[in-house]
Amino acid sequence: MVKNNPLRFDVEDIPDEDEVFRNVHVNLLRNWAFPDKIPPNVFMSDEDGMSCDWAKYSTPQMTQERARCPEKNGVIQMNVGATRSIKFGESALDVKHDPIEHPQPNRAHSLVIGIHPPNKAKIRSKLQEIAQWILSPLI
Amino acid sequence: MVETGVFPNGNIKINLLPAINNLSVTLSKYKEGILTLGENWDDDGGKPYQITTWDRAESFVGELLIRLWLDNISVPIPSILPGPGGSIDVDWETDAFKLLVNVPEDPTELVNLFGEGVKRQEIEITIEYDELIAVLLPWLKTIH
Repeated sequence: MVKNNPLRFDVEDIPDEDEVFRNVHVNLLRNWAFPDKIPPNVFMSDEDGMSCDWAKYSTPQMTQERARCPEKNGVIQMNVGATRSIKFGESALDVKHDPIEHPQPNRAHSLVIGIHPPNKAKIRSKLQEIAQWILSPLI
Repeated sequence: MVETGVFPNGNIKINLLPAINNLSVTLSKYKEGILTLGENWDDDGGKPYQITTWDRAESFVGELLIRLWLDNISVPIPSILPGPGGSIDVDWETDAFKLLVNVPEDPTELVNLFGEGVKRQEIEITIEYDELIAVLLPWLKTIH
């Protein structure tokens, strides 16, 4: 840690055997008929990557509480190694630790890299296969 | 699922009129589910979906299914979901195959899709919207 900034977290390597969590807003589940399965539209990414929380520094409940409206979110879990095994062309997805300080400090924050552009149907379809519900939406 | 019956010679027929009625009712329900998503629908700045995006998704789903059913290929109605960045996801998950088609909000953008049959027949392609039926119809026929 940087001594003169107690909130600056070190970036660490995430081992393959670990898990990451991601919030899923209930409105993404509209028109989805398979409550035990994960729909493909939960895997949305911006230019930096798809946000998630590393299980080393978060629990599913803590991830849910970080949502703007926790009561409207469920939480999915993905194994990091399984995520990294998803290949496209010569590349593969990666999971990188990305601790942040804003809008609130989150040491667990991480990114799944490689989904961008967000319409990569194969990647999202493969992510569906490895993801699982860990907390159902409260409503 | 699509209603089927069996002819005396063993051929399976699809009872088309109830299937089309069911398709119409289901698509109406899906349409409402997506187009009633307002500003900030995801509590993270999500924007409403354009009716033109919905129309393109609905049009290709309707044409594809009816053409398959007319050929006695029983393919269920897919899920139609709010997708990333104003796009719409059309998703089939069946015992025979899975298929994800992403219809972009911008009608000039290409459509990205991925499908996989139970025997690992795979399709991954980015094409013009107008090519969807010509590409998916033969692939779905080979799956069945």
